Amino acid sequence: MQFYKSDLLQYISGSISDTDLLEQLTELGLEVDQSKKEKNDLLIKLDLTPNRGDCFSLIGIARDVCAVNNLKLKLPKFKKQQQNHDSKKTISVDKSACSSYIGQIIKLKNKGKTPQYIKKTLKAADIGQVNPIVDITNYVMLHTGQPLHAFDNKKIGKKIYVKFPSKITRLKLLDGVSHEITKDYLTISDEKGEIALAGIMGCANSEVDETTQEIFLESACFEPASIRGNARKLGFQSEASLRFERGVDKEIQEYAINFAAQLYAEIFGGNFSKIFKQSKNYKAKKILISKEFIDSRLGTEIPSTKLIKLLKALEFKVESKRNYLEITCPSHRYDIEIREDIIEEIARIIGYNNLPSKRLKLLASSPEDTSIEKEKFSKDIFVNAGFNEVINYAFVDSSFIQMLGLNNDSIEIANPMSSNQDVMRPSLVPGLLNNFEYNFNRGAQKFKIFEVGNVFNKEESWKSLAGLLYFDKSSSDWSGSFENSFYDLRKILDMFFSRLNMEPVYYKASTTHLHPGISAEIKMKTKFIGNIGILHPAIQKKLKLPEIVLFEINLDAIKLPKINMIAQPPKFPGSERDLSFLVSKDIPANDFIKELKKAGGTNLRSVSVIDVYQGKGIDETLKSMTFRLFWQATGATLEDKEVDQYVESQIKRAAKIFKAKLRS
Amino acid sequence: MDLAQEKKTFLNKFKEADSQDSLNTLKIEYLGKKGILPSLMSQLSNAPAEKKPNLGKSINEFKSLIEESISSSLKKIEQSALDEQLSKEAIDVSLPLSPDVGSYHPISMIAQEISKYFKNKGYVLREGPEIESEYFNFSALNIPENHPARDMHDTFYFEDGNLLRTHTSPVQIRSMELESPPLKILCPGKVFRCDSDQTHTPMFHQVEGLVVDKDINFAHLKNEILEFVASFFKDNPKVRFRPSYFPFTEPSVEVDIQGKNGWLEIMGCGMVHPNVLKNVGLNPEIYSGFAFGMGIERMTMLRYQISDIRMLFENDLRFVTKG
Repeated sequence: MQFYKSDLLQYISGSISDTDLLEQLTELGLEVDQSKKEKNDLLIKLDLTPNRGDCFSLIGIARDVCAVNNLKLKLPKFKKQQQNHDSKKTISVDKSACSSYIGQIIKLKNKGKTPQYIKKTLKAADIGQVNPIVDITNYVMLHTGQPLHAFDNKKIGKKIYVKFPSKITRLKLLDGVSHEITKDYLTISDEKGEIALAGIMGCANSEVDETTQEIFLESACFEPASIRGNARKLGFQSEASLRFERGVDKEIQEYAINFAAQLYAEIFGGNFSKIFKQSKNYKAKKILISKEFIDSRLGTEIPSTKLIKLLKALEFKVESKRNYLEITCPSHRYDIEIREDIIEEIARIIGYNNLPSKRLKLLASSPEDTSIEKEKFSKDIFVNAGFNEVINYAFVDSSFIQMLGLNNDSIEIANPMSSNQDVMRPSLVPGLLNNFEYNFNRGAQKFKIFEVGNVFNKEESWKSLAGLLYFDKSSSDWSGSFENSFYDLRKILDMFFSRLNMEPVYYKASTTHLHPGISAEIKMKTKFIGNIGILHPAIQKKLKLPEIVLFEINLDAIKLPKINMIAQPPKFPGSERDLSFLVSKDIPANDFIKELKKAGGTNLRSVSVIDVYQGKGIDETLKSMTFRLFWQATGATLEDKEVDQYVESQIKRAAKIFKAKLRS
Repeated sequence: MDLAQEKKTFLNKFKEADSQDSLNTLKIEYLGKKGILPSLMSQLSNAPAEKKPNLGKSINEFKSLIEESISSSLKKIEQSALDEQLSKEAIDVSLPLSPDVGSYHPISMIAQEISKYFKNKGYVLREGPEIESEYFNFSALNIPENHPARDMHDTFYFEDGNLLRTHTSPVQIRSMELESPPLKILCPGKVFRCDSDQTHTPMFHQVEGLVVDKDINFAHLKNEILEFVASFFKDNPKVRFRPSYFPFTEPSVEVDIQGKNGWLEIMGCGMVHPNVLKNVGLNPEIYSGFAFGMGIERMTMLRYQISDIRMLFENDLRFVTKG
């Protein structure tokens, strides 16, 4: 809503400075979006909330300003124009959709011109001038909040129906466009068919223009529920629909039509029919509220006399009963429905900033969401390991997903902002690759980035953690300490899992976006929890990327560590042996270690791989792996003999399961 | 036996011994089993009885002289060898290194700061799904279909009618359905609206607080916000509360702080609407509550003086690694 201060002041008996007015409007909840000084006047633009439809009018705004300043509202009275012709109109109304329908036929005597003061008001509101007939309807609407519609009475029939259409039709509206109208649009029709979309816009077939000599002026109250959403479905919002969607004063229709009629009489000279009227009886809303309830919700005590005075200033009728107040709402405050609304009115007029504040002593406790804890725990580890966190949009380009071969199970957004944000991300990898590309093209040479966020497929969503490692070796510094191989990234994951007291296993597996030979699935027992590997060379080539290492873990699949006992270290000396085996190069070290552990007895404390060799001197189908095994008992020094037995059974087991030979 | 002569001979030899080896050889020559000193000792028994005490004393003094001079000389040599080794091993301690310095995204930093603040005040963190049903995102929050308030939320939809949550408020509903008052929760998370310009991105983050119990009132809400603002904005700015409209609160409040160039909107809040309480089976005659919600990007932009929100999602490493 945009208007001049001078137009507003017509309704206020008293003066008020520009600064005070602007501040007060915002503190009343009628937020001043912009204001501009203009030739002895102040142009004010309000950003109104959907509940304050009443303030889409100068009178509505003036009411609030008067209430807060304790000033009197100056409301001009308009008399009904004397009836001087007896043209007829019969009106039939669906009263569930339209509580009041008022109309008057006005014969225009002369050619009229839109006066300057009307032009100024319309211009302030950013409403274009159309012709004097329409300009008057808009002018009255800006003052009263009541949208009016003028039909060319020569173009419409003797009967007016306000109803929902019985079938889908196409209507050409005043915007010049033909729209499909479904059965949930309330329409105004005559004997022949639709002449307007109720509360939204008139049809072209009944349009007024410079030559119009006789109008049928409509002032109606359409129920918000019968208008809501309809204009939006057509792709526009009109001044009328804006107001009807929020609701208009149920008692103002006659006031508005008399206001307009007086202007037609002044500007055109006119002959007036009687006023045709179909309306439901208006019953004012009553709310019962106690002073105690008000005090308890505001956390302060407000004297009854003050409460009553405030509410009366807002035109509420207040009757004091024994234990409560009976409040009757004015017809223009159709947004007031419950006791809490009354409390807001009281708070608003006192001023939110003038109400007290009080310390809350409540302590409620329940366990924290483990998912949030897990996210924090993971982020801390990766940040401390030198990773930089990124945050990407949760929607990605479906063609990129396809290119990566991630899956074709991603959820499409029905109304995406753009085609490159059309599906919910099934993985965090696309985002990381985008981040890589963006920064690589800007000269970044070292990447250790990660993200935590939800990922989605058609069945479910889960929290994911993914990271990317890359280092341009040519930009290495004198220390040469930064590494970026598969194993460097895996070492970080091993550290992460070990902080979680987890010992997952890496299995060679083919994941579409990763190098089939340098990638692994990460599993806990048989449960898949993630993957790690080098970006697939084919994808690297397509995206013109260098070799980068990536991982992604399903955070929902892992648990935060429980509190573990810390075992005392054994006091007795242990025994260390190194064993070298020749074995097929396809045997994963992890499988081999598993068997060594099985055969190594309970005192085997650790198995590490100290050397892996393939090449000269060894058959090319084989590799040599050297293990360092360490035994230690808790209660006594281990005898060499005992360790010898374990070693022997390990050698036998390795031979049996892997056909492994001990190297001499 | 001429002890004086022996002493002289030793001192001459000692003067010439300048290495660890020659000193050790000298030590053996004099103090070894078949060395000079044991032989002197054995001669002592042949000496006349009256001379024995003095002679014995002199031999012992000679022995001490040998031991002390050799060992002190050895120590000196060791020390200088160590000194030499240490000086050889010295490095340039000033060489620059490039450590991998991890960082949180600025949005995470602020979200964590806000979460920590409210956790310390007894709020419990809660999460909810990003893909929501129409019920949790709108209806349960007292936003009926076609209500103009839905215009305030440009919603992303899916074919099945579900949507991307437009605010973190559905978590309120989910929490109230699961837990009974007293309730004091904080819900950070991603939210989505089809909007993109300098101050809007289609995805952004919110953090929402909810307190429900008996006798929770507007004064409590005001105080909670005032204390938070004083803690978050270091220069303790002036705060303005003004009426607003959210379907799920009544009264509804918008909170501004005084900036250099006027008021800056920082959050919305209000008393939980009785319909919302009823929707989760709480009796609004008995219970009341307040809720507040703020945009984390907005708080991040205010904190770091960022003018374009989109920068936060470009993930330019020169920018997002400052956290």
